[in-house]
Amino acid sequence: MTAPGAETPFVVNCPRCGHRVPSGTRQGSIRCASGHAFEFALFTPAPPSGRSRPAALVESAQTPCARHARNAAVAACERCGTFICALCRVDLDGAPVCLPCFERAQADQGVGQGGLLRRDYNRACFSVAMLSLLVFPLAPLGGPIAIGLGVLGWREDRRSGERLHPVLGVLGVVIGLLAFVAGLLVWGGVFFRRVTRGGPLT
Amino acid sequence: MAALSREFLGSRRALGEIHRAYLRGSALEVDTVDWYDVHRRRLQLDEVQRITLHRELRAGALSVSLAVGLVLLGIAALTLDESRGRSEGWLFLAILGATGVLGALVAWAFPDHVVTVTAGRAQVRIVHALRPGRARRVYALLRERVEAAQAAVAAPPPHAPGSPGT
Repeated sequence: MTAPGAETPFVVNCPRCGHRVPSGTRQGSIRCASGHAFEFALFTPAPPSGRSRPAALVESAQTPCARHARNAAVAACERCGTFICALCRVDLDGAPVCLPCFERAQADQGVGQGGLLRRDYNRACFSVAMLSLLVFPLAPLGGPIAIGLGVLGWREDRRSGERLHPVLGVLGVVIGLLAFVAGLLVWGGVFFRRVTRGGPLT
Repeated sequence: MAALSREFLGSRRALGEIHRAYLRGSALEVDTVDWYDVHRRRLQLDEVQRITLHRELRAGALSVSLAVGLVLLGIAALTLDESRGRSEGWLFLAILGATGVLGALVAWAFPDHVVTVTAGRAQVRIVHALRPGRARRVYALLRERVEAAQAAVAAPPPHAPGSPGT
């Protein structure tokens, strides 16, 4: 803790209540005015590089650019979500991104190959397969859908280079296949009996 | 080019969503799993301003467990009084109620450990329940990685051979 009257060059916000707590060091343990104890480490990120001049001044009800407060935002960065003005906007594969994200995408191309939004086909595959098993009359329909979703999941995993619930995908395909075959046998048996004996479908 | 491998740091459960935090290269990735959609956000470590570690009571879990437990115990007591020991239904309710109260006690005795990473435009919270050691390791790892990332950014770029600076 800092002695009263001593110089406190750092201020840290309590993560629970948001109170500003002065601190003499960059890291350590501290307690806020509400009595919440926490450990902290403070950093000083490098200022953003690049200079610009105002392009389109912000009017009321317009969102300002995150980097240039006087400029109106024209898009949100596709990678980090920051609001960007016309000066900051860079197109990367047709998508608007901010300059830091563009530089990072060029510097480390291995990062972020998975994209911003992914669909968890493997999990969907497993859910549909289990549903086919539980609602058995639907198995001849649900089985192929589960298998299709499993294939989509496998292709998505290969494309992105990152596997998302692969075990669920494999299980879903196996269960979907079993449900499909069993469903076909049951429905085939019912129709076979109907054709050969001319009885009811039950 | 193959994607860099990533390390799972922890997760946070919200209403209908799960936020999973990973460390990939010099960035923190947060996957928000919403049913079958996975939204990914990335926070570069060189932008981080503050990392904190604190303990937090699971107020929601505690109050719900306590309320359900007490209600069930109350019904069990009423059932016992009404049946005058002829029926064992009260015992089942009493066990359920006691489990609820026990859950509330566990939530009170073992609060969550929360690592909060704050940058200029984003904040990531990683919650560890019943695993304080893991939370401390994640806190130390993130601190170390952020220091390394910001030192790399602050370092002057190397001069090319033959350039005026050399």
